[in-house]
Amino acid sequence: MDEHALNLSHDETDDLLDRAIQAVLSEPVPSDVRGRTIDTAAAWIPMPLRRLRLDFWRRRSALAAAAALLLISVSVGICLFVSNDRAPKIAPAEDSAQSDDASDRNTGTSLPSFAGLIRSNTRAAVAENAPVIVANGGMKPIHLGEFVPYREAGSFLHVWDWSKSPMSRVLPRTHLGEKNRIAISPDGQRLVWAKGDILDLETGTRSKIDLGGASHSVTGEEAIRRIRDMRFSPDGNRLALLVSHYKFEQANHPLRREDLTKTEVVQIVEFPSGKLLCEFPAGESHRLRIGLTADGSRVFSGMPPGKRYRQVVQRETATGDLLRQYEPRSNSQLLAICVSPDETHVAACEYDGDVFIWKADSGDLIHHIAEPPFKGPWDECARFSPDGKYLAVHSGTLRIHIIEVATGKIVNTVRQSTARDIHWSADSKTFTAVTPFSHGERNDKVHLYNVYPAVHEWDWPNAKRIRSLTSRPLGSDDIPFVDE
Amino acid sequence: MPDWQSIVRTHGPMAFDTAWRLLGHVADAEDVVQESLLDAFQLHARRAIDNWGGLLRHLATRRAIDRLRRRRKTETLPCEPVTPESDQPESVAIERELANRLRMAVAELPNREASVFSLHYFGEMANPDIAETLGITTGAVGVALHKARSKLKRALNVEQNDH
Repeated sequence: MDEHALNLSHDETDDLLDRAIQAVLSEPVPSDVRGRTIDTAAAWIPMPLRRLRLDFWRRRSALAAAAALLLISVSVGICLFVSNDRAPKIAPAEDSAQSDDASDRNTGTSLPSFAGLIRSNTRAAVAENAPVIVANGGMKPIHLGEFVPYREAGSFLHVWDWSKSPMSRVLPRTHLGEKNRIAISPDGQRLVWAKGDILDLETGTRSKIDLGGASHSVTGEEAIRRIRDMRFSPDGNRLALLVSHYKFEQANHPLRREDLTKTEVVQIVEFPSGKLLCEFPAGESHRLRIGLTADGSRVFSGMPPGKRYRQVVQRETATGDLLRQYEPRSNSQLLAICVSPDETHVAACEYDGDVFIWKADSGDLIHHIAEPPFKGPWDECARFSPDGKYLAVHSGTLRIHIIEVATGKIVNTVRQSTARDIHWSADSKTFTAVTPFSHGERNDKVHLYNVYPAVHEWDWPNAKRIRSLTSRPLGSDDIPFVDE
Repeated sequence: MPDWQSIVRTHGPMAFDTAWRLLGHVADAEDVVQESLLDAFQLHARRAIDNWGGLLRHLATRRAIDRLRRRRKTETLPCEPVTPESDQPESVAIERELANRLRMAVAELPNREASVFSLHYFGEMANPDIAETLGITTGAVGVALHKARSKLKRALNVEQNDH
C-alpha cells in the first residue's frame, strides 16, 4: 500500500474528519434488518424449568448436586421460591447455583435462555397448497420441530408430508445446500433450484429449466448471487424470481475506474418453459414480497423505485404493464402482500403494523386496520381463506389475527409465536400454521441447534389448537425467526 | 426492572445503529447486535444493570471494533453494498470511501479512544453518559475524545492507494 501525506491544514483536516463522520452518519440504516434483528432478540423465550433441571444434573457431580439439594432443603425461602415459581426459568449464565439465584434476584422476571445468534445453515420451503415442507438436513430422518445440532446440518434433501407423518423422508442422492435458493410448487410435487434443476418429489424424475443461472460469474472472485428468492404462482404455471442486476459504470477517479450498481427486479417466467414474461423493479429487497392471482395473470407488488413511500401496485404479468396503484402509500416496509382466491381483494401488511385491504379492481381502500397494534409479521405470512371471507395475519405480537374482510374487524386471535406459512382448510374453519426455521442456543454452554419447522392446526373460531406436530413441548416451540 | 422485550425494543435499535455505523455491513451489524445482547444478558446474570442503553451501545461498539480489526486483514469487496439513492454516484462513492477510511482509522485507535469516539459520534451519547458507561471520569472522556480526533485527523491526512 502506498501512502503519502495530503499536507492539509489544521482546519482542513478538521473539516475532513467532520465530513468523514457525516459520511458515516448519512449512510441509511437498513431498517428492515434492524427490525428483524430486534424482533428476533425480543422474542427469545425462556427455557422450560424441566430442561433447566436436566441440564443442572448433567453438569454437576453427584456430590455437588447432593450438597446443593441439602442447601435448598434447609432454606425455607428458596424452597418457597422453587415451589411457588411455576414460570419457566432462565438457564444460569455460569455453571453455578449462585449465579442462577443472582440472576433471579436481579431480574425478578423470566429471561430468555435461547438465542438466535448464529448464521443460518438451513434452507426450507413450504408448498402453498399442500402439506409439504422441504429442507436440508443430515442422513437421518428428522421430526418436525426437532432440535438438530447446528454442526450436524447436512445438505441432504428432507421432505415432510405432514398429512402422513411428522418424520421426514430423506433423499440421500439429492443435494440441498444452505445457500441454495429454491421454490416448491403449490401442489408440493416439484422442487426447483435457482440454478435450474427441477426434481419431481414423488417420482424422483429430474429435469431442467433455464433461469439464467443462480449466480453471476465473477472471474477470480466468489460468485455473486443473482437469484435471491423464488416463488410459484398458485396454479404452478408461473415462477417469480427476485433477481439482482449489476452494472459497471465508469468512474472519474484516476485510481477507481469503475463503480458497481445493483438493482433488484422481479422477473416472472413461465414454468416449466422458462420464457420471460415480464420484469419490473422490486419493491423490497432480499425477499419476494408479492401476491399473485390464482392463474398468475396479475401480480401485486411494492412500489416502483424512485418513490420515497412504498405503494402497492397491480401489474399484468404477461406484459409487466401497470394496471392499478393503491392508496395510501406505506412509509414502512411492506412485509406481506396477498390476494384473495376470488381475486376481489388485495391485502398488504407493513412493518409498522398496519394492515390495508383494498378492492382489487377498483383500488378502493375498504379497511385500514391499525388496532390492536399489530407488529409486522416476521415473514411473508398473511393469507385469505378459500372463501375469501377472512384474512389471517401473523403479527409480531406473537399471535395470528383473523380479520373478517367484510367488516375489517378482528374476529378472533390465536396465540402462535411464529408462523412462516398459513394453510387454510377447504371449509375455512381451520388453518394450519407452519413455524419458520430457527436457531437456538443453550447459553450455559455453547450448544447450538437448528430448530426445524413445526406444524400447528387451529380451530380458529374456538381459538383451540387441534394438533401440533412438533418434538418440543408446547409453548417452547416458537423460537424466534432468524434469517434463512 | 423492565422485561427483556422492552429492553431490547427500547435500546436494541440504537445499538444496531451504532454497530451499523461502525461496520457499514448489514450481516456484521446483525451479528454484533445479537452478540452484544447475549453479552448483556449474561452480564446481567452476574450483576444488576442500571443503564441498559449505555451498556448495549458500549458492548456493540466493542464488538464492532473487534470485528473491524479482524477485517483489516481479511476484508474483500463486500458482495452486497447498501447504496444510498443519489443522482450523483461519483460523490456518493467518494463519501463512502471517506466513511470506510474513517472506520479503518477508528480500528487503529487504542481501545479507550476508539470506544469513546464511537460512542460519542456513532452512539450519539453525551460525555457524562459515556463516562458512566465506561466507568471513567468525564474529564478522561474529553481527553480520550481529543486524542482520538487528533489521531484520526492524522490518519485521514494520508492518502492511501491500494495496489
